[in-house]
Amino acid sequence: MTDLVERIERNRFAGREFILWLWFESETFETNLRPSGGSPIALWIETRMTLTLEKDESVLKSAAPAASPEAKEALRQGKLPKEAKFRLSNGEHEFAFLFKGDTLGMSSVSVPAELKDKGDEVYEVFYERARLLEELEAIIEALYNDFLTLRLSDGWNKEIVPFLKRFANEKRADDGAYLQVKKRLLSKKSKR
Amino acid sequence: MGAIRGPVTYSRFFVAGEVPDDISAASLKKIRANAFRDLVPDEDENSRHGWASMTDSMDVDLDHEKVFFNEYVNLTLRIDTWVVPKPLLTAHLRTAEATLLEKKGLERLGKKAKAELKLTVLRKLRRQLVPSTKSVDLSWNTRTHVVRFFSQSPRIHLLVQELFEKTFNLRLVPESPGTAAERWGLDERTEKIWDNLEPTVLAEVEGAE
Repeated sequence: MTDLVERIERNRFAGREFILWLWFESETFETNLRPSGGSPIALWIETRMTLTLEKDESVLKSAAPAASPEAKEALRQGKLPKEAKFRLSNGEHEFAFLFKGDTLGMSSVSVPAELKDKGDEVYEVFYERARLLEELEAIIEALYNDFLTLRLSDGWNKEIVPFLKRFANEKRADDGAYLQVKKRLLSKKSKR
Repeated sequence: MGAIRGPVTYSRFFVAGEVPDDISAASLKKIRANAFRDLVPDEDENSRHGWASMTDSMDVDLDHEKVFFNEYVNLTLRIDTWVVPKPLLTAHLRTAEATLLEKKGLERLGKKAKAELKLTVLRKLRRQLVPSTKSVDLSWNTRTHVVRFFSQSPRIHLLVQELFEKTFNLRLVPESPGTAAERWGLDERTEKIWDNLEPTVLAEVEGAE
C-alpha cells in the first residue's frame, strides 16, 4: 500500500512542468502541436491560469492569461502553472477544459456533444460523451508521453531547459532549433 | 452527475487486478448487495452511501440492463446525509430539556441524560425531514481499465475506492503524474531518473548570467 501511495504522490510537480511545456510548445508553434503518433491539433491557454510556488500563488484571469507579462514574471520568480484552462481543437471537434497538473484531472470540460439528455436515447447520449472524452484523453496522454520522453532524457537539462529559460525571459524560442532537438530526443524513445 | 448530463468534471482511476472475463456474471450479485439503502431516522448513522442507477439515482433496484452498457460498467455513487439545521435542533432541544426538567423536578441534566435527549430530539426531527442526496457517476471501461469518476473531492474519492474494492475485489488507482509515468513504460534507466527527479528551476539566480 505504501508503495502505491508513494507511486501516486511521487513527483507531482511533473504535472505542473507538463502544463509549462504545453504552454511553451503552444507559444513556440503558434498553437499548432503534433503529438507523436497522432494527428496535428491546436492547443492554447484561455481565460484562466494559476501559477504557484509553495503557498505563493498568481491567479491570472483574462482572455489570454498566458500572454500577459505577469505570467512570464511568475515563471521567473520560480512559480509553475498549477492549473490552466485550455482550448483544444482536433479537426472538427473542439474541447475546453481546466487541467490540473497535480492530479492530471479535468474540470468543467466542454465537449462538442450533439446529443442532449432530453429527447435523445440515454444510452446514445452516454456513448457519445464517453467517445469524446476518450478522444480528448488519448490526445492528452500522447502529449504527456512526449513530455515524459523529453523530461526523462539526458537532454532535458542541457538542451530543453535553455529554451524554457529563454521563453520565461520573453525571448522568442528558435522553433526550428527546438524542433530538431525535440525530434532527436523523441526518436531515442522509439528506439528503446 | 456527469456521464450523461451536467457539467463534466472528473478524475480518472485505473483498475488494478485481473478483471473477470464475464464481469456481469461475476459482479451483479455484489453490486446489488452494495446498492444504496435508505437512511432510517431511528438508526444512529448520519450518512449512508451505496450504488444506484446512473440514469436515475433514486432507482436502487439494479439489474443487468441498468448497469452494463456494452464494455462499460455504469453506476452512481449515491450519498444520503441527514442535515438537521443547527438553530432548529437548538430550539427543539431547549424546549425538550425544559419539559424534562419540569417533569422530573430537577434543576439541571447530567451529561449522559443530555446526550440521550439530543439523540431523541434528533431522531424526532429526522422523521420530519428528507435526507440530503448527492449522486456522483462512475463509468468503468472494462476494455481499457479506465474508470471515470465525476467528482474531484478527495473525501468522496475515498468512499468510492472503498466501495469499488468491496464490490469488485479490485483496487482503484488514482491518476497522477506518477501513475501516468508508470503506464508510459519506465525502464530501468528512466525509472532511476524518475525516482531522483528534481523540479526544473526557471527562476533567475542572482549573479548568474
